[in-house]
Amino acid sequence: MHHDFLDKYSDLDTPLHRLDARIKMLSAVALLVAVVVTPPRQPAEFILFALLLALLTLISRVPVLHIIKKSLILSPFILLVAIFLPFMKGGTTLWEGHFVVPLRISQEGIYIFLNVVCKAYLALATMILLSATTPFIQILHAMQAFRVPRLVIMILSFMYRYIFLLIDEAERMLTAHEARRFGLRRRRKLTSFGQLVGVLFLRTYERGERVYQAMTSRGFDGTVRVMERPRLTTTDGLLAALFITLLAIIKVLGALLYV
Amino acid sequence: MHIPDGFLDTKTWMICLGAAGIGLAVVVHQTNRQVRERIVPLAATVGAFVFVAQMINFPVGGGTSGHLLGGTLMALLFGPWLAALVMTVVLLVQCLIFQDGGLLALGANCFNMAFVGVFSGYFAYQLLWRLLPRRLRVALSAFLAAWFSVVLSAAVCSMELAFSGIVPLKQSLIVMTSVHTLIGVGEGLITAAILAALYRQKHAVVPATERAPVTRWEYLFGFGLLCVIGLFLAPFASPLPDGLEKTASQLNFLSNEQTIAPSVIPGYEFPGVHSSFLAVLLAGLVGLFLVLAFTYGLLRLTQRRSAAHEGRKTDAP
Repeated sequence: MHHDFLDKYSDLDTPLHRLDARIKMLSAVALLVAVVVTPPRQPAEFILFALLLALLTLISRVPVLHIIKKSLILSPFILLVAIFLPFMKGGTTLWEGHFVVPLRISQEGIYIFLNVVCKAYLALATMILLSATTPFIQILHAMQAFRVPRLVIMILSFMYRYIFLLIDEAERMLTAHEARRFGLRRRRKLTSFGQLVGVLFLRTYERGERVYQAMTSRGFDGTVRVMERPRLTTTDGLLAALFITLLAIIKVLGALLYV
Repeated sequence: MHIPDGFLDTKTWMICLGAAGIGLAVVVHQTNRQVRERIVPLAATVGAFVFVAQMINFPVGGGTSGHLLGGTLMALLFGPWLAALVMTVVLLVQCLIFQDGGLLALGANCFNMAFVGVFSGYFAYQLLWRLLPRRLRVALSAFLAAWFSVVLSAAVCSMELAFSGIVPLKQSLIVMTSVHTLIGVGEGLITAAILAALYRQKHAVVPATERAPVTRWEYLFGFGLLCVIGLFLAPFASPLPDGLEKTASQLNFLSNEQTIAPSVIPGYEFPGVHSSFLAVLLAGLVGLFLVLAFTYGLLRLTQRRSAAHEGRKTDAP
């Protein structure tokens, strides 16, 4: 169907897309850890990490606009929590005021705020880039290599398939609901919404039963057999090592450029 | 309530990841025992349902809209194990595809929403359902349980943020719980409405009127969750918060049942515990244990009473 918003651009053909998913995931986790352990007052590191991400984005040919747009969608979640940070920390007072309750912005609070927001956005960009360069099925394969329980991976791979079906189903039901619920009062709205989601649930549940019966009749015994993954080449290993060395260099540079 | 990466410091997300990993192993084991090979299609379809249901916005009024989180609803329909598994998988998909919630913070998010969220809703429903008058009990206990589960998850989330040292505990608790008190009302209304609609359909999935009693493993898991929450709270009860980094690994080891037994001895004088920090922690654990024992006793009592009242049905799932 038309739901390419799930992992858009993951089917491009660039060096970054061709790279083994295991290497990409490992590098992404290394980058996340490197970003997250950055202490406040080392802003140089954030700039270097941002440059690194920009370089990777350039290689992957994923439109920068896509990454910005996606991170903007998720911004409210980050800012909603972060907005309270400057007010909550003790230390040198920068601004004092009164709005319903007494408020105070401190210098330490501002540092923490900037630090957290930078980290959150860099981590977000990393994850957006990972999902824009790696089809979901390959991420699952990588997770299997990293010893995530098999059951969880199987559920994930099935679920990924059903999400598309269910979104379509939910859209059809919502259209029908919109067309018929004209002029409902508030209380009736709640019950009609409950019925809508309840019916969606029953349809899903019954679909799950049918799928189970279909699978059993074809010999499903609780295990899924997958083809062998391609083996990791020396180049893959070298690339991962290179990337992690790069991260280490950035960390050292950041520590030297301490403000 | 999805914590992005960058908000938790290294010790916090590592502890959470460890706790969530152990929790997931238990949950997978328990679900496997319950539903066996049916588990894959069932959990996958239901997970997709939760995922899609979270995308449907429901107008709350005043121009804002809320959406279902679904942890309590799943726990009421399928029991806490499958519910926890489904919520974990939903969080994984949200993190990997939608980047909603960080990858390193995934352990914390799982802990808050898939474990604490599901189990608190489940325990609250079990208790309320037995205490409330029969006419209202399904809808009202579902509403209150869902509300409680959302507020508790938010409180645990703010504890983790405070444990990371980016916010003071008191303020973040106040902000997070007050915001989620409102969100919880929406969640409670939607959960009750969906459950009521399902009851009206009289479908096979709807839980029988006689609730299956809480099992021993469920109590144990709930106690484990309380222990981890106690760990997050411990440094704030202590006059020596600086000792935290050093003892974090030790604490993780200490927070199991064996260490509780000797701490009933007055004065906390037993070998290996020198700092007041550990004493406070142990005192906290004893407190948790008492709360749990009280809840357990209450549940057992009410279970026996309702069984005596209505006669146990054998066909209950």
